[in-house]
Amino acid sequence: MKLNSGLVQDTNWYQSHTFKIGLIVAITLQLSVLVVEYLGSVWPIWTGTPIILKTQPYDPRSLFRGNFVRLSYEISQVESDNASEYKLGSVVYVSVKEELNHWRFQSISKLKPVTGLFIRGRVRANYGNSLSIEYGIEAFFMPKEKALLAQETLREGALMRIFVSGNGKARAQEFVCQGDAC
Amino acid sequence: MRLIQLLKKELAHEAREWVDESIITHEQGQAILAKYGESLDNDANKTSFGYYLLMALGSLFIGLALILIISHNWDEIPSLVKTGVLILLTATTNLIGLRLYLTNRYQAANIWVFFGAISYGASIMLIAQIYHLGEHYPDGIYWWALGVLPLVLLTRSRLLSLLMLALATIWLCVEVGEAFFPSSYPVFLLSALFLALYCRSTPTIFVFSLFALLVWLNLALAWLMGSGIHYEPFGDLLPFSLALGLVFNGLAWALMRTSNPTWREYGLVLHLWLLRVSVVTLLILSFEGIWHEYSSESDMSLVLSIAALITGGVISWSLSARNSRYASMPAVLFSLCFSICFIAQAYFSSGDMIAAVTINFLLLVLGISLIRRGIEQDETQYFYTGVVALLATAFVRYFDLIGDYLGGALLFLIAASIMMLAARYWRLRGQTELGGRTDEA
Repeated sequence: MKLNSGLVQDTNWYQSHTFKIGLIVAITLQLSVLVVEYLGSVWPIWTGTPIILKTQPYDPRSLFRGNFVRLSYEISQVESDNASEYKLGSVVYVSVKEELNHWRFQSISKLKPVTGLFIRGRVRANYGNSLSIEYGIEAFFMPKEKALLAQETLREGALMRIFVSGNGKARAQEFVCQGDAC
Repeated sequence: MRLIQLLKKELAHEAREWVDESIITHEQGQAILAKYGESLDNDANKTSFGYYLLMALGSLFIGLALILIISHNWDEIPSLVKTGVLILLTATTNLIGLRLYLTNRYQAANIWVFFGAISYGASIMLIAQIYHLGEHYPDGIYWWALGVLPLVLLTRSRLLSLLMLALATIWLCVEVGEAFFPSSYPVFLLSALFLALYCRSTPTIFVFSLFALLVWLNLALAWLMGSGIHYEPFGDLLPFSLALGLVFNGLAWALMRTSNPTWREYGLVLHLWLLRVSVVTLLILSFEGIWHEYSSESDMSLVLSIAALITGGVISWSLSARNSRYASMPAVLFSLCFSICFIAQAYFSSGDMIAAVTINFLLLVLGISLIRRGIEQDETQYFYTGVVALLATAFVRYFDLIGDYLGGALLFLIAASIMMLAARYWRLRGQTELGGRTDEA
């Protein structure tokens, strides 16, 4: 390869088969990323089990991602006697069981449970016997006005419909409530 | 390597006028400009570059508008339709770019592929919004940068390369902000460096990539010190960074020696930036309080950091020895002085003062050497940088005395003596050389 090629060199390169095939592959890669992202998003909704989790919306933000309310669930903070054994960033499986009108924390495990309904999450912090876990359902995107309204009207707590697929992947679907923000 | 390399566009402009006024012939003009990688004919691209730049900025603005429009119509458009439109837009813009490449309309093709890259990123972010993806959001920026990377290598477009570097750097910042380590950041930097060195002349990308690599290496060391699960910045990051700075200095001189005009330009730009950074760094380290706050973590890390400084100095010296004494001597001097500072700070009770005084004298030597180099080589840039370094040293020392009033006064007197002795030596040497030349004549 010549050093610091100018337009003449570029012209030869642009006309080569390597460039044409490479460009088609690169475009296909971009589109594949988008398709995989889409399928990964809708797969739990198509195949998963709907459950209701108690949550609290707070602090709408709009940096990089648009306007959304941040959701903190009951299962976002769980107690475990051996919390220090869970490394930050490690994958955990949280089993949930239905109680009255929503689902609650039952147990936590490093291994995927064989039976029962469980959600896959990652450890973000541990303080003493308490673990902070993220499940990928912590953001709910809404227009700014609705996000602020949700934060104000649902401050005392809200219910969120979540779809959980067989491998524990969860996806937030909608607020379950009667307020103006829903 | 002269600073005129950085003014080659202005030189080309002047040369065109000299040819028009028949001061020099067309062939002579071409021969002069060829030395700097320029040509009498390059000016024709000026107008099209302006068009190219405005079109690229226009594409960026359309991309931003796209995000806002779709964000605004959140409730009105069904999710599937929004997703379909986004994917279709990304496919269409890229395919138009591909078609333009195939019909040899390269500038327009670059613009469309750039717009395609913006659409692709907007699509990633908006699909995440549509389906409320709360997963680790820096991943979205990462996949955006990664999707642009093959296009950078294929199209060799500076525009796409800048976009990729900007995205990768934003990803680095947010990833670190979320307490994760951006392990694959160098992939983006090395791709940009490949483009700068072998495909296109882009000094900005070259210098940015090297400094970004320095930042990433610091983060990597802090991550390793935190057992690879969290950041634990430690004192010895500083000597490792200084050692890498010395290696970069050697690299700059080695590049300035090559026959390739673009690489020579890269070397010069890197050298000038290192010079500015080193003056600022030395000024910061010239305070006694900085060394008082600095602490080395352990004997082993201190030994390793001193070894890194000496190794950095040796590499820098071996890379620059063939240029001149202006190139190789600073490598040895900096390596030695920094090693003295860190050893003194670790093992002597008055180590803070020893380190601060050493750095102050290093600043003096640097200032004197730059003034002399500026005059000898007729380069005002070096001359004024030297003057600024000496004046800044005097200014900060006047307000921040080392060793109280008498200590400060002593420091000023010693500094004045050094400068006067240097001036005297310089003058005597000049007279000797002049005498020698007269005798020869």
